[in-house]
Amino acid sequence: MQRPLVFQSALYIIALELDLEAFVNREELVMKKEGWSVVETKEYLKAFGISNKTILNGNHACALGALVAGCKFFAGYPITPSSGILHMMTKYLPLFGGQWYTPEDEIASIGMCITASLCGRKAMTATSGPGFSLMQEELGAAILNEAPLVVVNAMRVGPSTGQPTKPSSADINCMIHGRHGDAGDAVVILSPRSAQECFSMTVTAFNIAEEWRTPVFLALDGYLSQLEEQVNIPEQVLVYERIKDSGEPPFGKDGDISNFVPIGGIRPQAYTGVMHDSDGNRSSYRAEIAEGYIAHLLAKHRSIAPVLKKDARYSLFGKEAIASDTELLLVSYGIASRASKDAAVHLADMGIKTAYLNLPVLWPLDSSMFEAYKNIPQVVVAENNTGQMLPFIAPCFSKAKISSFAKWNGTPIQTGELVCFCERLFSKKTKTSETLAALETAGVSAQQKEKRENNATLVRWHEYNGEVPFQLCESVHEKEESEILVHKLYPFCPGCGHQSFIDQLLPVLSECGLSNNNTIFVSGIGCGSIVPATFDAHLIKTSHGRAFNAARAARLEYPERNIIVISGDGDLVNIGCSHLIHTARGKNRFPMVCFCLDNANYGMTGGQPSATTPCGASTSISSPESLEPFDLKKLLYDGCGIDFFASVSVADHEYLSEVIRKAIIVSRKTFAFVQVFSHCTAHFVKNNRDLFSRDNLKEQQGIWERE
Amino acid sequence: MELSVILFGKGGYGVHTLGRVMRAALLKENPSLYIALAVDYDTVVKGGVSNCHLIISDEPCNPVVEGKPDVAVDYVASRAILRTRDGVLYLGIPAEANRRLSESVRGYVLLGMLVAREYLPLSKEAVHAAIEAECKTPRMCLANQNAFGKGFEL
Repeated sequence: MQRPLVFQSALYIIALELDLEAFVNREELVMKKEGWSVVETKEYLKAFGISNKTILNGNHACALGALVAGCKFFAGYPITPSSGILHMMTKYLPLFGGQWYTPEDEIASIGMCITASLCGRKAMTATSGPGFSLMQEELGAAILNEAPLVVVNAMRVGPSTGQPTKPSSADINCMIHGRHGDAGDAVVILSPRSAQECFSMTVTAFNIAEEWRTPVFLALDGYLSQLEEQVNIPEQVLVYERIKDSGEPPFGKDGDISNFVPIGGIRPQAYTGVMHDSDGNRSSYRAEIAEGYIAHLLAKHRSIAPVLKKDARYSLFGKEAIASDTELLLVSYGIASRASKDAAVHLADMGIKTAYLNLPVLWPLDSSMFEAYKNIPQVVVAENNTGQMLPFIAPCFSKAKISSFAKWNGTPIQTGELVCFCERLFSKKTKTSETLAALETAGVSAQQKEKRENNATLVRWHEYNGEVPFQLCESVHEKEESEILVHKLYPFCPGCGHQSFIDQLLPVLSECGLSNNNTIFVSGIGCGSIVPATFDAHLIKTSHGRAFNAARAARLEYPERNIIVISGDGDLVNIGCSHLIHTARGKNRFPMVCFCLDNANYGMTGGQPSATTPCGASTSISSPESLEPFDLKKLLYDGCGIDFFASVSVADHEYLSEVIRKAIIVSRKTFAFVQVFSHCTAHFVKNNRDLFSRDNLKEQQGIWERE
Repeated sequence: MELSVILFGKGGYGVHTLGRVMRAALLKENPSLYIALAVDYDTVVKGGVSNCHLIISDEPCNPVVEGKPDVAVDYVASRAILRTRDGVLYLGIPAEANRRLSESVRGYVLLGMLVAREYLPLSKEAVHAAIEAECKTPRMCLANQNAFGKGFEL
């Protein structure tokens, strides 16, 4: 799209550009308020091997921002598309006296970060939609305990696993309202729109978290997290350190912020999830404590937005200027803001006097953020989701007609499509355009309205005397014996062990009489989990790590069928470990077989270590001390007491077939576990050939069974 | 200047690396350019969809390719598609040459063809230097430089 001359449109364009001037060397501001200091970025840039003017993607810019802000603790779990932050933090944090850990799941990650924060450290985690969902309960604890914390959410298409590599701003509702309880939404949400802002807003996120003692979320959409752009890192930034233990009560009151009393500090301090007052007196009963403390959290939260709007230390809002005859305002956030800015230029040149407003703060919103724009008659809110911010923005424009440009298909908003949408709102050509515009104002598309009218008939349940008024819905087709076959080829990496496993498994299943009539497969997330998804078979493919939950339910529901769990080591033994050992505990209640395709790393997300990665192995994350891997035979056979455990390599075809055969037979009566050493040619084996050599694996093979 | 490029390929072909090579070469020719590089891929480690989007402009803009790109480099079809004011132009690797090429160097051959015909504002030297800077191993560097050179001569 040809770019018009900008100066013609300048009068109508609002450029709420990040005021970089405010970000650099504000010593006069620093001297006025305790806790603020100026930090040089030189040594961080040197460690990264970059100069002030460089190219970074959003993930790397966030990691750099965190380090510069003084982050000293990071715990995270690999998940697309935020894994880049995990890699950078694990690599550079130790250089600046920080600690990191990659625990078994996101619940552990957030728990560790909160604890590190309560011990006095600046802490951060990074995740994506599914991981963020897991963190909600613990985030409630962070809110209650006024724990400063930064959480980066690189959003992708959801819900559930959704489309992991497709970007979206789809978690806004979850970020605002994901926690239970009153004051569960007492968080701050920032929304960067460029790699530059990923850096600067991460610094700001830490400053807000530390000063206000609140969790701060960075709403990074997946496109931005991996977008590589030129950035300009300032030589100095302003950084805030929380005021520690000056003798005041440990928690705030009536919206005021109190000093922070660390765990392990001078005076004993308890942090729990139970309601308390500002002195830390806990009560699970007294009404006045609940009322007072929740009121404090809400008051504190309400006071944040006006300060963020005005205080130059936070460098979130820039200069504002608007022409009085502006006809259209485009409101956006995140990467969508870039389309809005360009669209505003094009629309102004088309004769529609347009301004654009970027929202760097999504929550809490304050009416002062929209004060200058209140008289604009038409507002379009452009979002990369189904319009999640629209209900919060619309009330701020009491006089305007509001339209929603909502795009939720996993691709970012293009300038052209936004221009066409806006131009149609102002088109006086046809009635259709006016009608569409009116419908869009009502938030209903023409198609939806027509569909609603046609579906006016409702099916109502009638009272009846125990007789079923209509026929129960049942399959009309007769059951046919159908062999379990591969119906959808999957492009496993060349040489991947999982394909060898499939080649041995299916003939044995057929030989043992397993078919679609008597078998249900269960898997989770990861390369190993894809194996049963290639079959034409009954399959429940769960969220990451939850395969055994589904398997147990399927077992109870279909006691006569074979339940086969096939997944990887990361899915079953890391995040799913708790469910694994509890399923093993109920070995006779839940007879089934589990094939753990153990490639000793998280293959799909880039080769991070898992719970079965051998000590000293080389993976994509370097660790100062690697942990001992789980000995699954000791854990399950000796420890949990299951009656059948086998270890076998995919390279030993004959033995593998024998093990599969035996495991299937045993699984009809009890829980059987088979650890299948299946080499990952994309990552692990590249640097650890010896660990997956035939001789090495052959030594570890075996079958252990009890009568 | 405003130009959008999409490199269409599969996981393991080195599509993103080629994108970075092109970016490095363009910046070498004109350091004041704004270049955004975005990756687009499916959840398959090797062999699935893997594309690289480049948005090149004189000043920062929406880093999203609008509709169809000005230049499309297709590893799988071994061809480049250019959308110009005069129409759509197709540039393909001759079948005989293509048969001898591995998938991962096709992009460099096509890049050579584009640069030779001045469809991209790049010089041979800039691309050579960029390949050397971006490729991880000397073997990969040499293979890609050779492929680029062969494309330049086609």
